[in-house]
Amino acid sequence: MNSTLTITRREFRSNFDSPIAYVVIALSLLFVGWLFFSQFWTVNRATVAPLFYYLPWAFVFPIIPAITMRLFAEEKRTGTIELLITMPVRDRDIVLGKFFATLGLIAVLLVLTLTYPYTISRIGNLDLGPVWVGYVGLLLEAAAGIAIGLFFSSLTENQIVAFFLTLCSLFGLWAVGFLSSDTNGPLGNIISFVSFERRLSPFSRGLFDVRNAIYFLSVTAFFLLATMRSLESRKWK
Amino acid sequence: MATDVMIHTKDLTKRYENFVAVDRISFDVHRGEVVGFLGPNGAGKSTTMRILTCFISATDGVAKVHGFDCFDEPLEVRRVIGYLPQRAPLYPEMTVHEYLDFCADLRQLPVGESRKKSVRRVVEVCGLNSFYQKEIRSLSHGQRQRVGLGQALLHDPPVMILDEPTADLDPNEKREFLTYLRDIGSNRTVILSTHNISEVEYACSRTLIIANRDGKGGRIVADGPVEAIRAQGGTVRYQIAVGAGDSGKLPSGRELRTTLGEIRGADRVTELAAPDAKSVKVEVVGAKDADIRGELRRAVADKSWELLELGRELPSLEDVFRELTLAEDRRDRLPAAAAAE
Repeated sequence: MNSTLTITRREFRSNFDSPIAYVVIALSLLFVGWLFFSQFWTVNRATVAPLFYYLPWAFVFPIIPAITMRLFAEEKRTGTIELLITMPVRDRDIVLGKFFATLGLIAVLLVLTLTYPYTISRIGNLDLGPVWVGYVGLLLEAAAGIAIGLFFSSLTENQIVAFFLTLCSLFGLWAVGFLSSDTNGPLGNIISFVSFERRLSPFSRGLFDVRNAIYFLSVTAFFLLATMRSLESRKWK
Repeated sequence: MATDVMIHTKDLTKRYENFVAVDRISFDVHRGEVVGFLGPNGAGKSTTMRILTCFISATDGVAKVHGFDCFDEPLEVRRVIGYLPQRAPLYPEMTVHEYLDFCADLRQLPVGESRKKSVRRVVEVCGLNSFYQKEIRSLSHGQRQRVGLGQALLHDPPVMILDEPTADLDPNEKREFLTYLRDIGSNRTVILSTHNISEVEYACSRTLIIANRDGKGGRIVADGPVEAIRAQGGTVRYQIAVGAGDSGKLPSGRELRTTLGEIRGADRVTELAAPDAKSVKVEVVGAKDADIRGELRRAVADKSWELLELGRELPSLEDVFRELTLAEDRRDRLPAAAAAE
């Protein structure tokens, strides 16, 4: 079996061997569901827009930092990384295996949230096109966030440090978007360019813009490569 | 006769920012050799093993395993080695069965009867049967160590690199494992680091001693079969048992020590536990190039004691190890000001 797939399988299963995945998913579903439906009855319109507003926030805090913090930090702390790396696998297999396993966990979470649009489609007339595009956007944003979390986890043995570094980075990349409306000139352009919020909002309105997809994929690729370099750096330290 | 070089290092050096961990070490290990890698803590044993397993890279020098370069061909090297790092780090949430299956997948052992056979062999050799379906988190240290050994043996590798493999095993498990190593060592290469010298004497056909020198990184200070290394020591030991004899009075340990200590060439005299109440036993340490058995015999006769036993033997491996590595250890224990002088 392909080494990346072997590692993906093990990592995906190990998510469910610790309570973190269950707690984070359950709390996020409850919290986002509560916010979503409380707005839904107020607006009184068949829309899932609140879902695409609150779920990215839940990704920033706590979902992605919580599920990525242990990926390398825990292996470094316990020493299992040494046994894994000295197997006949490439560093890239290890990084991609962990990445896809975590993306799989997010996919499980997103599938569970499908109950919200499903419920609304039963009681109202919901346009499903924007819903699917919104989910694609969420998955792309999650992929970028996971790659960032994976990178910070590879820098330290301390899960808490990895958690906060990821949280601060994601929060910065998300919240910086709120400054863009008040900032003009080149700085405003830069903020709009890097902001996760600005990049994601077209998806949540049902607009699939290839440039935004490429942006998220580029961030993902950049941080996956950075993680591979970080893992490789053990050789030279 | 072993001829194939399975592990080759030449001027292997690992420098960190502030210190040199391994300093230009060179050695070859051949097929069919079980090599004990001895050295005090911090001498560079684990660093050397980590370079050989491609976990870290050397700063300088050459390291090859089975002809593959550890720097340029890490995947090929990892395919031919079975490695057990210190403390056998394993995934606690997996069962032993799942873990071995995971390792077999990573090692790309084909699924089917041959894989089952490999797993069965490992389960039998490492004694994993009684906890095969248990989660690793519930196992004792010794059981985890055995699982770690299991994964290192799973693909029947021609080269095994084991970092303190018996650290958490009980005496029976240790002996069983060492016997197994000795058996499999006839047609493959094993290099194991340990602090336990008796294990090296029991299982290893050859010993490498690595020690820090002059405050620098680890260097090879002895290399060869156990007997040859023992012969490298600068001392020999005489064991003497004495009875009352014509004097009619058994000497005290102190009396015997004083008498023998006056002989020229007897550098150190230590009392040993006597086998019975009718004798006193001491050990005399002297220079290797002198034989003072005649003087010892005469000194005993002069006191009219009876000489029950007199033997001359090379120092133990432990003595040589201490002799070769203690100087640096003492240096480490000096107060900072004295060390800086």
